[in-house]
Amino acid sequence: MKRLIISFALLSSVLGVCYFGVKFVESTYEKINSELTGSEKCMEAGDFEGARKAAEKAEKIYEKREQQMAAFVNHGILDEVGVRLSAVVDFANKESREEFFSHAAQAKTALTHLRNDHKFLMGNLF
Amino acid sequence: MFITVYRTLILYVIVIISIRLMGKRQIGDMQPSELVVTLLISEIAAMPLQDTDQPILFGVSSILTLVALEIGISIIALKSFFVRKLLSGKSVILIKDGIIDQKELKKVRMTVLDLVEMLRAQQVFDLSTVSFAVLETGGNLSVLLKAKDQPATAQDVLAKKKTAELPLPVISDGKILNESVSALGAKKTSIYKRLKLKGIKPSQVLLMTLDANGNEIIVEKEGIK
Repeated sequence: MKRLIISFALLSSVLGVCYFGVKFVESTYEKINSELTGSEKCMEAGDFEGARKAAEKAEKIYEKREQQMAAFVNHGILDEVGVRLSAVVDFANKESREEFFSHAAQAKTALTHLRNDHKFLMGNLF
Repeated sequence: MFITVYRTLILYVIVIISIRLMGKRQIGDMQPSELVVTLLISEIAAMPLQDTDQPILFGVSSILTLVALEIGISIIALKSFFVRKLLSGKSVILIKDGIIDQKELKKVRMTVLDLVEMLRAQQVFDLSTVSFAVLETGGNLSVLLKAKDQPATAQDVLAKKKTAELPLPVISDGKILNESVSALGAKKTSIYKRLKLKGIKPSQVLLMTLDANGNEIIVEKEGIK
């Protein structure tokens, strides 16, 4: 019985960490996604400065959280999101609308993959 | 590069803790479910080691889930015959009174040659001497010989024999093992006295065993006087 208690205590603590990880990834997704959406809206309205600022904010949030997320997420996916966000900032700076929208969409897709990897979905179960 | 070393260290500790939690068993003595869990643990532990892109948490959470499941199910199996049978199967009698049960042999998918080989491993070379041979759930064959073919015991020949005592190592590599000394009900001083009588210092001893009857074996270190 002692072994059972120890193993379940260890498992519970790991599950706690996993739960925290899922919530952390979800909140990161929400924050970055809303910043990216804001950036896209600014770009649509022709507000290049607003689009650049929002994209940079999204990138900053991501850079801050990337280290912690590395404990819960496949590092390859993290790198991909990072690269996409950098491209969005880059094209916002260059005021290149088409490239900006294309990379913003790709960044959002990569972010969605990042979040969905931890969701309780049939696709993830099987 | 060094990160691989750190990750290996972490996983090593986790795997050791997991195996210790599951209890001591040799591969040959494992029940099917235990064997599966052990193989899975080794496989899962290897994945984050090979692929540093994977967080170590992936491996740790899977390993701990398996260990908790295994311990939980083994406790349930202790209390439920049905669960035990479901997980481990049941023992099968393959030979009765020297006659092979061919139906059962087919059921367990063993050839006669496999059976003969397992009998030979048990020092049984003549089928007709076997009263019962049982294939255990762990895959071992237990053999009971017919009464006339069983080796004679001390009781059979009416021999008076001192009770056999388990010899315990009391000194290993010059260091006295307090646990063994107290388990024998002896004292350190008595061990030193025994060594003094033989003119040996404790530091010169590679191994000393002692049993409750006072029988000792001393192996001295080579090249130390």
